[in-house]
Amino acid sequence: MCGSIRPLKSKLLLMKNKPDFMKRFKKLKFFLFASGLLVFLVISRSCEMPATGFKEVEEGGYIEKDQKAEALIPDSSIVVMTWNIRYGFGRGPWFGDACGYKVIYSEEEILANLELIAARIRQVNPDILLLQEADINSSRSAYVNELRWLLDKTDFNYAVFGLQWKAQFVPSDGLGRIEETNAILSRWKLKDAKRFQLDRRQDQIAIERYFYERYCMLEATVEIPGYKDLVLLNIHASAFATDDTKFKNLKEFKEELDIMSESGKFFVAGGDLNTLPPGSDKTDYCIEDMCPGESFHQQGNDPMHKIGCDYTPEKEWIVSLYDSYQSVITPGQYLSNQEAYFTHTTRPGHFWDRTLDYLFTNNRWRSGASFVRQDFTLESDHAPVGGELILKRN
Amino acid sequence: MKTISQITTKSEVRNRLILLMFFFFSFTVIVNSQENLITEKWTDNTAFLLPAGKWESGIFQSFRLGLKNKIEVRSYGLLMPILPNGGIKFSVRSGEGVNVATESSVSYPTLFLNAVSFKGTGGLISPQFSFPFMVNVSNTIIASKQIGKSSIANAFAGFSFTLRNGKPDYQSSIDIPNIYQRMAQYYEGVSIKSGISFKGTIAKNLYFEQLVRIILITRTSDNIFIENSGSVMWSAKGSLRIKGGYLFSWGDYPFGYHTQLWPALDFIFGSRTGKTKN
Repeated sequence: MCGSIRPLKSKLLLMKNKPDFMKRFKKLKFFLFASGLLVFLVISRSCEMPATGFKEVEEGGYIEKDQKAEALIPDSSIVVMTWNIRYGFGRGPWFGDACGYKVIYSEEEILANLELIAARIRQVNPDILLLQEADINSSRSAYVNELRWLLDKTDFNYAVFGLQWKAQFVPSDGLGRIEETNAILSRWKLKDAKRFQLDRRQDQIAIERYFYERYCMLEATVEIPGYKDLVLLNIHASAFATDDTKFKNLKEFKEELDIMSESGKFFVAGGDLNTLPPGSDKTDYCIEDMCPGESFHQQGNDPMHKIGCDYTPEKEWIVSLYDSYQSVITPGQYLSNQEAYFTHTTRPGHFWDRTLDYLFTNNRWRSGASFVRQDFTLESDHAPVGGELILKRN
Repeated sequence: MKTISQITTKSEVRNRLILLMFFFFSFTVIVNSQENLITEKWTDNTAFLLPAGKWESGIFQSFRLGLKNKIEVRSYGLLMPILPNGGIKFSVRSGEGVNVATESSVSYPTLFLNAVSFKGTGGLISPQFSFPFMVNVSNTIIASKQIGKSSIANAFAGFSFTLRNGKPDYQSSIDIPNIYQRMAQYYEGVSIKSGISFKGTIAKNLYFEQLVRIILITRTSDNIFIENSGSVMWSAKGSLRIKGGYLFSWGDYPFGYHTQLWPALDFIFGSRTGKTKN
């Protein structure tokens, strides 16, 4: 390597002796230097990977409304609600979960559905909303920032979010660019937003796994004047894993709640757990969720059960959550009339047929104030679940 | 100073790459006047044509064939079965001073767009969309000035438009940076391109190119893109040339303003390189 320096120096000296060298050198110098500098300046901001991975724990994103709505000091409780809004598709026939043909929705369709969702939010008027499947810049939802839109059209003032799926371009089914979030909206200021990466599926091939969504939990703390800080935890657990990923996700959720509880924090937590409550009469929805041309439960079918529709092995998976914390819908309520608390269906035009959405606290819910808004049948494939959480005074 | 093994985070690696590239550009300034006849090695994107009977092609670079001394034809062979295309380049002015050439091409993208519109892995476009009959027409004028024997400065301008039997759905575009702007005129507007480039020699059999291009689409949104590419080409053996570099772009995409950097690699082969007609 060192030996090559001397000939190079000699060549450079020779070049300098050439009459046209300096003239050409000056012309080139500016052009190339400018090009190099341009690259230097912008390259550091241009390295977005085809699909974005996340650390185990990352800071969440914050947004807030410019013109704040009035946030009154609550009497002794606040209304907390969780809702999976299905990217603003309403009950439309999306290819991913409803035997649909459609992948991309138009801006008009998305905005019309968001109007419905915002109207329902205003109707319930929750103080805190845990939101799942809110797109902020996805091709499938016409690049509408649904989170910003809902924040602006409701009485919430603050929102935090954690990206659940961020890919420049998903080369499958024409999905294209995706930025999907889990979010928390609040009347009062949110702080300490953290995104927790949940365990990822291992049952996919590498390329599929690389572009696949990264299910996550989002934590934030809300400061309600006159009351103890309330920690909020929003989860969207894995839906279609055929391995033990969903079990691990639920375990991670419970562990996080245990840590908070042991450290004396006051929390409300929930979201779309993608599993049924213990004691559910029906646990296999393969036939209900079957699309035209599919066949399950018949001899020779492979797979025997539709992916994501057979909850039978999961019967005991969230028993410990019910044992440790207060569910907004008590086990007694649910077991006495299961259909009244169903929150989800995959089939457009059908009524709710299973419960996947939950809220838990380590304090108390106001008795008789819990709800599953099963009358909200057009806005999403999930019904919102909520209740009145008793606050702790400072 | 950290050693490579101590560089752990992505940002550290990136910062070092930036420095490396910066020093590379500085180096090219110093040694660019090596005396090699660049017009024999690298005339793509210049007003210089391949000599009659000579041809070259790359994995990504189009196949080029010199027909007569003032005519060259080209086509992207790999894409031909699903994206029929062809182009012709005429030398308008050659010899000493500034060389000028025009390049015209046509392509039929409908087949390609319908072919990548399917359900499942590899589907780049949603199967809910179908594409009408479309023919894309591009015209470019290129001016090149050879500087000594080792450098070529180029300027180009042109436009592309699409003749179509109906308008495809605006949301059916492939929104990948650097690809989107090349297909934007299929959907709406005329694409107007202009830019400059410089090809030079680093050392014997080692060449570089810097290119800056602006693309404007005549419509009210998603309509401006600026690209900068840099590449180094090594004339390896015989006619084989290996080209590597980057393509950087900034633009107004349907999802917002965005900057992007892609690596670029190509292998170019063809007739043994000889003297280019000018």
